[in-house]
Amino acid sequence: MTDYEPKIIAFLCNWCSYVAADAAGVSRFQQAANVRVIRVFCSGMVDPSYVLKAFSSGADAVLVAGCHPGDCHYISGNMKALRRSFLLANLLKEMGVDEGRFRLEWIAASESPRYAEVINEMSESVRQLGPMH
Amino acid sequence: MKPKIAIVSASGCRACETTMLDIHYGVSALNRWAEIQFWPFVLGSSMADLERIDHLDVCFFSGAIATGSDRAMAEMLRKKCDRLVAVGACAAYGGMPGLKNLKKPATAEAADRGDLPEELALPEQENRVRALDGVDGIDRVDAVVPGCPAPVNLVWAAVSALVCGGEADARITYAAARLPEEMVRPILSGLGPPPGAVFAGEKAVCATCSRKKEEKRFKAVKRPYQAYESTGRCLLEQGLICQGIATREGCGGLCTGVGVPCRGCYGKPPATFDPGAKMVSAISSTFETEKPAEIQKIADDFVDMTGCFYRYTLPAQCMLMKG
Amino acid sequence: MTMQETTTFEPLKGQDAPCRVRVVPDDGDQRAYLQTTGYLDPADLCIGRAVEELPRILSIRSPAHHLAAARLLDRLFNVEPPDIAKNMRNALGRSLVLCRHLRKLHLLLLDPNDPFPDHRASAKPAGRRAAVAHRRAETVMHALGLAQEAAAILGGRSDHPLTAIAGGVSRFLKDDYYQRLTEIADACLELVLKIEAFFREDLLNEGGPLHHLSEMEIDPVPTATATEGKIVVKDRSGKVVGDFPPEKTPEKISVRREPWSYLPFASLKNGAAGPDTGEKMPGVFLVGPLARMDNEAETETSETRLTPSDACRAMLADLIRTAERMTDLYKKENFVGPAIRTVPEKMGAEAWAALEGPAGLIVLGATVDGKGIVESIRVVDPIQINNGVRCRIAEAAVAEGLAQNRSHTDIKRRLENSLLLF
Repeated sequence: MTDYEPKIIAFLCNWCSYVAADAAGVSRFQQAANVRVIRVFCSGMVDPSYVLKAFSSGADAVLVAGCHPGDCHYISGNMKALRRSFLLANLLKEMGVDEGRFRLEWIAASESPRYAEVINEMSESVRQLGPMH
Repeated sequence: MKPKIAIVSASGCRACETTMLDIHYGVSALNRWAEIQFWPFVLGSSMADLERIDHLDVCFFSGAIATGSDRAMAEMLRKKCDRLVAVGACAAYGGMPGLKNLKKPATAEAADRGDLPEELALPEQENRVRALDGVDGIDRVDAVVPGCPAPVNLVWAAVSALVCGGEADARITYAAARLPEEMVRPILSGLGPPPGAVFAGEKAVCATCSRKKEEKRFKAVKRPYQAYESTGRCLLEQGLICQGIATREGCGGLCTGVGVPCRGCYGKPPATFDPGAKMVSAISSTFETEKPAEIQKIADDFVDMTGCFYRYTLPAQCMLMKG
Repeated sequence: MTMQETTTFEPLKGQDAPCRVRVVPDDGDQRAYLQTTGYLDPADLCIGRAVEELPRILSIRSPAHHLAAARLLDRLFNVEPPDIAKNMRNALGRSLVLCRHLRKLHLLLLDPNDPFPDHRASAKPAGRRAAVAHRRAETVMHALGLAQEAAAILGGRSDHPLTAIAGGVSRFLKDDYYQRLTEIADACLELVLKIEAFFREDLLNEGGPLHHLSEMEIDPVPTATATEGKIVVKDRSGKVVGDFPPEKTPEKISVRREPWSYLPFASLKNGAAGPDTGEKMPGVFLVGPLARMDNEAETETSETRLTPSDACRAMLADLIRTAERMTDLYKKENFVGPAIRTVPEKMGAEAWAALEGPAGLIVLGATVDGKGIVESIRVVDPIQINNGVRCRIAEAAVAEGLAQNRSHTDIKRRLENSLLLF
């Protein structure tokens, strides 16, 4: 198990979280290298099927990150993501995906340390959980 | 020469197979068009008979693959048949028997078959229930008639299209009215349906459901034992889980029409990726509140989503649990 | 045919579950085993589901299970359906009896060599026999078509019905249907009388093609029916020897597995039907039309022997009785009223229900958790109950066939036809 490296798929919103991720890199924050970033225009466009597809294609965890409530570039896209996340998390749990493998986070463009923190936290906890299945 | 056909059932309830007999007066006419060479349920044909047959034109296969003998029969039919047709939700998507895959593996059960003489040995149970195209030796299924059970009109449409060369008669035109145009044209012109054709509509059940859809907003999930309007408003709007939105059309909104919510026996429509994901998205977009605690509370009232959203499709269309 | 080695009769046509009969030599003698080779355990499908889904899930076992499961929900939620809902469920039940029996009779009628003879299209005249056989099969299919239409009107679908829900049914009938149901009931009665007559007069009689059904026999066994929500057990002579409510089922009926068949056997526990007679398969009993039979009134059944022919006659009598009752029930006044369901208010933790289905007694029991998720389920139905009798019939058919030195094909046909009736 020592050489197990979890794969995390991160759907990052173009206007906040992606900028934070970019800045986190530029600012050389220490962050785990387990993440594959997919830039989306809004966290609200991450349909539950994207998340299921990520898991079924071998992701060990999925992160959806968007702007803080009220800050959405498209007014309420992030609230759509929020509404879906609870039911989706319950469905995933029923299908045997451990809690903590799917997360929804609000990360503003200015919060690059927060981004690095979330990534590090997530890769550590998923490493503990081990591979899916 | 008359086409040679086979009609078989693997694990299931025989409803689809008896639907073939329910073509009523038409079933004796079937002999005029085709030679039925293999039909265990009606002719009593055995696997040995099947081994002796070199070639079959069409096979109508219903039932899920749950035992070793189901698998052997399916693989052999694939080799001998030009066109293998999955009839009913079980053959097409795993169907209700597929719910068995949700069960935690049993430990005690196998033990008591201990000192059985070899001649009384039973066919092995597969560890997972599969749809017809989930079997290793089966690379393709040429046509699908969905439904649990597959309805007589669509079964008859498939029979007329694949066996009778699309000879137009009253029944096929009736069934054709529900089929997508790009499928009906080649059938009526005698070319036969396109490869992989699904004998059903292309849209979601909602497209033909008779209920009124207004604005979708729901505050709490309702279960079908609770009070709801038996006719009139959309069931999903009333807070019931109705899977019409994530289900292929073709039944004409049968269940919703008689006042019970859709459970998805036609499988997902082509534009949907995963029926469960579609349902999650459709349901949660109608939550009115934006407060996380309230949303959590509504979400926690949903029970057994897997057994509901994938009632008929778990082995074939559930991205996370298929295979 | 003589047997020194294992012989198999497979597949047996017309059987609901995939099965075969395997005859194994046993110390110079033979023993016949009726093996069910594939089986879906209802518990595998039901445990973990929301309890209100049971009527729709269990309907794949038989359409009558849909009604039995709805009754289970009534008990679980402690509600009494309004009269029109009861009538609609009852009416659906009647049409299902016709569907089931007519399907069996159609399978009995099909010619073993050429099930769908097209006597009109063939070049040489096929003769009176074929034309008459064809006509008879079509009469049965006609009646079946009508019964299925009634079931579709009342249940939404004839095969896996939909409309029975907790506390009632899911919708009122449409206006056009009242008249149609009356027409169907009248037409069914007429057709069923015709069918009964040609079965009784031509097919089952001496010299008739189904006469072989009376050539094998087993000892009669106790019977059980569901009468007014209770399970009533009668002994071989038809005398009531006991009754118990459905929740007592685990004490009275055991469900046992044998290593050589996937399908379990339900049998009466000691004392449920009088003294044990020391048989090799104790507690075997029977449900279905034969059990519903009121011995003296309807047919002459013997106390000392039971033949598949008796079962066939019972089925025909059952058809007529059901069609007759349909004409009384399929009237507009029975299907109109203020409400179609009583909405449940609170949920219990455990419930049992018994229903007399077309094939016989169905007992369901379930326990649920606080959210209404099924935790355990007990299903005792004709498939398991008649399993024991079917095994005996298979033994008798094989023994009779061997004694008369019949061919493999002939024995197989006799097996198939007689098993169809139980």
